[in-house]
Amino acid sequence: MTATDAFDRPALERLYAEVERPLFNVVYRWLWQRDDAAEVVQEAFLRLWAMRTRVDPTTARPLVYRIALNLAASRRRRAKVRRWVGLEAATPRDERHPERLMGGATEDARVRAAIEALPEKLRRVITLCELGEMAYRDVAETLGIPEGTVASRRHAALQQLRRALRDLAPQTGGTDGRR
Amino acid sequence: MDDDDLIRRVFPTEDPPPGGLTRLRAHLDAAERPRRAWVPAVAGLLAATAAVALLLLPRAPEVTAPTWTAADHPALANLGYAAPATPGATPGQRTVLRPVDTGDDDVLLYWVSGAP
Repeated sequence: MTATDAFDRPALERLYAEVERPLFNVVYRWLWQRDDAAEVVQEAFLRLWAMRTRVDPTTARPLVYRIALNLAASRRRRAKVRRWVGLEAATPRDERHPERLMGGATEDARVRAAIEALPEKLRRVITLCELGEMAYRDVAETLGIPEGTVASRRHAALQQLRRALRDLAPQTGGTDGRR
Repeated sequence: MDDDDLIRRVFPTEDPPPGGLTRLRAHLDAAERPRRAWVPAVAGLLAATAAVALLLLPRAPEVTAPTWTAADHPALANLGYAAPATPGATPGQRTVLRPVDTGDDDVLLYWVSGAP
């Protein structure tokens, strides 16, 4: 069976159903806009479909993550340039007021700032590891780096986040059930 | 704050906007639909344009066979474009040479005919 035969419409739709949520959450940490993140997820799948004749179904999942991450990083850079040249009015409201994100609490704004402060290579690893529902091996394949590098970058990202958020008030109550 | 607590607070998960798969299907269908609609439409338009152009363009003038005779241009007889001329003179007869205008100074042709 060739890649062309195997990666058909049903296979694409199955993959979408499987990864939509984790991929959306990864991309959201790059764009901080729900609509933009959902758009990027759609576009990533459309691009994957456009190149379906060259897609090996066994690598479609890391490939769509890689496409989505590149799209998100590209959009993010464009948004930065837009702000730099002074088109602040064109910036979505939530981007200008991070405290309105995800419930409007100040802690959310600080969390966002801490994630924003991560170097891109650390952010890619930590978002894929913690939100992408991927094993180190899959993250390594997605980013084209060794598994050991994934582990060390994840550790470095957590260290940096911990330093940035060390004075957050201890949280009471249960977990959200993700872990 | 241990790693799990940190991760839980930093990376809460959210549900994506509903209807994502439906939108993806619509995008995929839309990407395929124009291709199906375009091909016959463009082909039909081109065929119609070509037909109209053929009808409207001026026709080339009809080519008719020349009415030359070998007497006008004797060389044509050798090429098969004209019937061979009847002999201008018979053996033993006195002949007259008449130069034939060939349009080329390097080509000299004479028409040989019997003297009256």
